[in-house]
Amino acid sequence: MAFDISRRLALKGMMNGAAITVGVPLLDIFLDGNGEAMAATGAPVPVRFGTWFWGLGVNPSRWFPDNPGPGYDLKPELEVIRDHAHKINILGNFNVMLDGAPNLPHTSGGPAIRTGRALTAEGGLPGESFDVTIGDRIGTRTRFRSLETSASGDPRNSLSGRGGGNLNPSEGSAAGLYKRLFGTGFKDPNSADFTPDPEVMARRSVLSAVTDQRKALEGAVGAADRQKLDQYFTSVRQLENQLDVELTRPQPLQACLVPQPVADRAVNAEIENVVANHALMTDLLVMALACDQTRVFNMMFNNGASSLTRIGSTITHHQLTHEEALDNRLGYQPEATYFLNRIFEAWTYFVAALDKVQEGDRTLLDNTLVFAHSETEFAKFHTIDNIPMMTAGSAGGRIKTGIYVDGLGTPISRVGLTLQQVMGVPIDKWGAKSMETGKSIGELVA
Amino acid sequence: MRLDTGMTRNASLAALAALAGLGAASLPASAQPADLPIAAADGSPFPPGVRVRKLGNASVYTDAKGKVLYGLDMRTLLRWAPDPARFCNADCAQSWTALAAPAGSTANIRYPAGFEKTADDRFMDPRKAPDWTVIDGAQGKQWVYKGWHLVFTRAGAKARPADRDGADGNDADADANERRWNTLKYVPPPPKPAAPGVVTTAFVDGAYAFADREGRVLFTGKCERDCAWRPLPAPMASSGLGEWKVSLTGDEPEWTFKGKRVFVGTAGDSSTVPSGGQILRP
Amino acid sequence: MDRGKTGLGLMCGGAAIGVAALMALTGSLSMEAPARAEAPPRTLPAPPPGGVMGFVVQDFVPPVIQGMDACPKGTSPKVRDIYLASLPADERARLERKENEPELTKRWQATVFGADGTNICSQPDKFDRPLLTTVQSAHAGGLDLDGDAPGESCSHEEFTAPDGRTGIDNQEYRVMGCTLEWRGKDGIGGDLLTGMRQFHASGEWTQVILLRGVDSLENDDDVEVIYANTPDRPQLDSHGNFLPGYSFTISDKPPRHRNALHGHIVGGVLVTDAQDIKLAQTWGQGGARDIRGARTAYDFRHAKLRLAFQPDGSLRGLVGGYRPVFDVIQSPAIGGAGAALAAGIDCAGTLATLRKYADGISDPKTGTCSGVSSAMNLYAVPAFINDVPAPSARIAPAGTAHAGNKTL
Repeated sequence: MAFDISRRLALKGMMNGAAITVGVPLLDIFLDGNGEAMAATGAPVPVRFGTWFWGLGVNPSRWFPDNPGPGYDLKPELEVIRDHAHKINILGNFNVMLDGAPNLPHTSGGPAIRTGRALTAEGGLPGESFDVTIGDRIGTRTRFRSLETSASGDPRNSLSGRGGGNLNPSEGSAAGLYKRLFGTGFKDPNSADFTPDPEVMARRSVLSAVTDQRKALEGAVGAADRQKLDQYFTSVRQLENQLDVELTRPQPLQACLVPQPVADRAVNAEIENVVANHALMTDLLVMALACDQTRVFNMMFNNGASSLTRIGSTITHHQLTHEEALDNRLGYQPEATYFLNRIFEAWTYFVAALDKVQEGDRTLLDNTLVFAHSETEFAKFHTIDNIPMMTAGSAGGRIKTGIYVDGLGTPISRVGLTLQQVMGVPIDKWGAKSMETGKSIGELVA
Repeated sequence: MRLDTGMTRNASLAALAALAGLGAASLPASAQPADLPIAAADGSPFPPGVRVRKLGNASVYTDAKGKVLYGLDMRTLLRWAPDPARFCNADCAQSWTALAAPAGSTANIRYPAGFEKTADDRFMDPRKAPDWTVIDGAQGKQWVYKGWHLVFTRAGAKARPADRDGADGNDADADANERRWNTLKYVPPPPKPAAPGVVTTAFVDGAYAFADREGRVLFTGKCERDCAWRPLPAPMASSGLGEWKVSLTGDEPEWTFKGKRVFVGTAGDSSTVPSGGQILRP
Repeated sequence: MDRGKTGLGLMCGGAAIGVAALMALTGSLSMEAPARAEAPPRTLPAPPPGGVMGFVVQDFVPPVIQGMDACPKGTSPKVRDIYLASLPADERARLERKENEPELTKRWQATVFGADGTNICSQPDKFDRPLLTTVQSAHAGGLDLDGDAPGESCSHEEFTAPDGRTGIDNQEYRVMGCTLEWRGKDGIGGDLLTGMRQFHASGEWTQVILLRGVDSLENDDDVEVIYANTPDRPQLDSHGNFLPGYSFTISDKPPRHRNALHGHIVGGVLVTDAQDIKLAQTWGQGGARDIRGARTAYDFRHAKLRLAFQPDGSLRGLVGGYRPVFDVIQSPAIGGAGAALAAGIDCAGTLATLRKYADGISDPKTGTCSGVSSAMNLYAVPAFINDVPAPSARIAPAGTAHAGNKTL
């Protein structure tokens, strides 16, 4: 396939006018005949996984399609995804079962979706979030195990972690994200001159020494300590893997373009700023995926109790969902809905950005599975049944798209189970108590 | 995820609802504060003079003179005192004496104020506090139990070695504003046996038993043909830990304890163990 | 099997706004009354052999009579509006201009806070705020309560029910009935059903009714009524209505709300003898706000059920009783400043108004009333109810976080 000049222009546009350095020409030669594997090694094109979160739900009657199955109807708030709807699934009518745990408004829904467990403490996660589990499966051979980003700038805005109080912090500024991705340590996979970093080599050898000690130690300690050691060495091994990656010549990647640095800019919760920040971060993330710097990501558009505001106003999106009366003639809250419209425009931008990057006959979106969700159904009431969810992309052909799935009130953990199975996590059951399920969503699996 | 921890703390409460249990069903006043399971002691040292005594059906904490200790949950006091630690003065102090911390103590915990967002290293987060901490109370430096409960004994004439309300381990009557002082009940700290990661312990019928990660009791017994007991699944590759071994003789790998098969109950109490099953204890 | 689903969080996280309140309040938004008062049914089926009947409660909502007749001056103002109303006209006009919105926000939000870190929702007793706009019409849904509580009521005006019953006591409606949360923007309903049904559908507040000893649905002078909570979730149809015929087990874990009542049936309407009724209504009881020992509940004193059997097997009617005044604002009080800032709720003004109109739970010494008469519309569909014996004491699995001392 020849390089599509119009796409290149589009990419320039995505970068808000910043010039783009094209390291090497994009060549089909990187790929095999079918565009599904890397020509150099025969390794399959990497499949990526990520999440996209937005806070404060939707107006259910203006968002969920009426008809389950393929070719779903688009309600007003989802009209904006029309051009991409054939690559997007809508998931509705899945329930969060709390088993007596409290429904902490804006707090319980997200962790339940990500961990299949009810949150019993104020902060953190009741278990490992499935993006981390998937990352352990597909993300260990890239420079970043995963990338967490928060378009509204708050590093604490995250739903990703191994459980307990610690969340993987989010990168809140596009400039910061640029430095992490393409600053020190970045190896352009398409660059001809690859030399291993001597510092990395040194660290690698220190860790090898630890490996030898490990075996001696494991034989010498009691059972309980062995458990702890195993956990510790698992993280050491992960570090070793990552260092190995830095010492290995990267595989050339067709769509990898190193973008120009991004300037520092104001980061706050004003919607225009968040939209612009999200677009910049999206573009960087897309390139990080195209350059195989990471295969796992989490994008938080806004936070659960959304602090988004309109420029010049002090009234937050969250405040509006509660204070603004339902306009019973319209059937929704018009002021609060303004923010929803902006959110789904941003989601469409995100999906489109992935879809613009060509990888053989497929696009980056086709080789990715993005899971988008909120933390509540209808914010005014903090409802956590029927939380709106979507997937985009087909994970390299592993899932079907363009379908509205009606969960019929079954546990929301079926979604997490299915996504993990699709991404190759070997589990047949997931979640706890009433959310323990072995029933994946058959209609999605290709 | 929640971001604003400050707000959370502002959220305390107001009127104390009476104990649970209604109409016909009157519950044994078993709870630490009222109706939730009693938290086990974390094993940290008791304040000087504090000990545990068996009273009625419960084990409760007492002071050096044997007076029963009571806790008053600071979260229920916010309506009357923006700093609930300072609540018990005047009338309250006539009836209740704070369990004073030793002279020269430094407060290491405080009630989280409204919108504060930054951590102050001098003070612990009550949610993460050990069993016993010291707060700046209305009657001076005093002990706090499990991060939230101001510790008191009955004051003056009402103070007897065996308190009227506490004599059977039960909570005090609620006051006119429905505030309730709860006897500080004691559950021993859990043992830490060498066991695989999927196994934990639960306090069942007065002693610790093995449980799975969801708190379901583990038991053993002879599972007759076609029985519906659920074995405790094990990873195929594990070599076992201590007296826990993996048996590969069935359809799927499962854990054994001291050579006996291990089954999982449906909840954390003995009534969910089927007849013929024996609860496994460390 | 995990019984005792109770928690119901309150605070909104994030963005500095903990709106505890909203469920309680939005949970009480206005709507078309789902449980129309008990029009006498025409033909009733025979009770089942054995006389045992079970129901699960689908609708449990204040009986708001819609339309703006009740509130000719509009709904009760929010904190921001109260602040604006307190200003001279020209200053008010200046602050209402778009470019001065940040200044206005800063100024009205300052009125939420008082000295020593207090705010109008966490410490409502410490503030003197204007009273709420009250219901002006002579009609309200509810029950005649003071006839059964002689000497325990304070003087008050009574309502007439839409079905013509007189002597209706519902001071909670008088006070709350003009709030935006109860009535909605334009006097027509909508939110309430959704908001309240969520709690009842989730197993958090789900209520069941079990009748024993029913010999006739027309007339029976001795019926045992168990009105209780269940942790089981109802099955819903595609409109969110509860499907009849499912099984529910009465909660056997603390806090256990199981009210054993005695009732009689006259002309197809079951009425129970006045008795205190307590039902689950949990706000903010999780994590740091797990207040233990101070669990909120629907606490109806001298309460009665009045339920009419319907030909389709369902039950429609009311539960009524006196509620301690503070219970009415419990949810925004837990929410604290956030409830005032994000939802504009004036807890202090509401509490003062509730106190002014209090008509029940009188102090025998002073004669002062500290409760308001209250009622909820009920609609319940047939279900199988398993009663269970009293629970035994429960002890936590080791390592379970509670008493707020640990986070998981």
